[in-house]
Amino acid sequence: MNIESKLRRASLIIALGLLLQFLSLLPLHPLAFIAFVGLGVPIMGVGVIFFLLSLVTHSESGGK
Amino acid sequence: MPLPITLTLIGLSLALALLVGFKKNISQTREGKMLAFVALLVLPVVSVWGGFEAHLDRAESTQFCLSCHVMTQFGQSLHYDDKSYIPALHFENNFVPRDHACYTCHTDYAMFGAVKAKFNGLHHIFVQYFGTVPKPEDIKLYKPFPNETCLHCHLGARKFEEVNGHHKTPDMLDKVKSGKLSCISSGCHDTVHEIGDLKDAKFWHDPNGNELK
Ligand code: HEC
Ligand code: HEC
Ligand code: HEC
Repeated sequence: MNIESKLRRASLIIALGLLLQFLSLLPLHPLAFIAFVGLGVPIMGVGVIFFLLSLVTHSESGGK
Repeated sequence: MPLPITLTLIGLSLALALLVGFKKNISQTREGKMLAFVALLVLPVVSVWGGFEAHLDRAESTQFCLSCHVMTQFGQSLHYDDKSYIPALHFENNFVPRDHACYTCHTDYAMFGAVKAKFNGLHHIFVQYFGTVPKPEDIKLYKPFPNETCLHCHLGARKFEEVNGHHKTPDMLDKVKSGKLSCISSGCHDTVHEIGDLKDAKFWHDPNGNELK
């Protein structure tokens, strides 16, 4: 996968996590917090990790 | 951070993440790389922090406590038209802030108490969805109500220190302060939520309409 598509994958996952976080703050529901820490944050975290990984692999191959 | 600002922040990060996701050749320019860094790392981290804080804040609100059906009768008990009920007395006279009424009396004022209270709250959520929800009248405190909570506000106050009821025996006040004699022991401030009384109770109606639903 080239760097562009890696970045795209990371941003879309991050966007999904952020969307869930946004939605979890709208209703005053007992499960809203669970949705925030159980779905929104981990999904966004995965996206951020993908982004960081893409930086590492990019700079490794960028040297050649 | 007020909720609208938190929401705007999260919305903005969301929009930027999408922008980076759909923009072509983002990694080719210096600006593009910087944008990606801000949109995919800095803003998401700030957003999570803001969102987390907003959730904790909201978990302290009376509305949140009453968002579970088992808790609603305790909410009604703040409206008794009778000041011998301690929570009603405090709620109706604004001795506790109305929008944080339950939390003010049911948090733990010891060090890290606020964190402990949040974990207790998670346990309630767990019981609510994965356990057997008790009938409201069967709900018991996990630990006896600590005098510290009442003392947090009353200790040192002139009325508290001087009132005759606190000097029925010479060492009474010391026992209360050291926790040996509970504030809510029988014969003292023993009338609390008493949700069994709700059926035939008279309620106070706030003329300003500032009531719990
Ligand atoms: C998710 C639904 C739900 C919400 C929201 C909720 N409760 Fe409860 N609460 C319960 C359930 C269910 C129990 C019974 C737990 C058990 O039997 O172990 C309970 C028990 C309690 C108890 C007695 C047990 C203890 O912790 O000592 C207190 C006090 C209490 N709740 C106060 C509150 C306060 C204050 C709030 C708001 C900050 C709140 N509750 C929000 C469902 C909820
Ligand atoms: C003025 C302080 C005060 C306020 C405000 C208050 N409580 Fe309590 N609550 C108490 C005390 C004191 C007890 C302990 C009663 C006992 O052990 O007999 C208690 C007990 C409880 C219990 C355990 C069941 C019982 O009756 O012993 C629950 C559940 C509870 N409160 C929920 C709530 C909820 C929900 C709110 C907000 C709607 C609230 N409380 C507001 C002081 C308060
Ligand atoms: C958030 C602060 C706060 C907490 C917590 C609190 N109180 Fe109070 N209470 C007040 C204030 C303020 C007053 C009004 C001033 C006064 O009368 O001392 C009051 C008044 C009272 C009165 C009426 C005094 C009178 O005029 O006859 C009683 C009784 C009382 N509280 C008992 C308790 C008990 C018992 C607890 C613990 C379950 C408690 N309070 C917890 C703030 C608090």
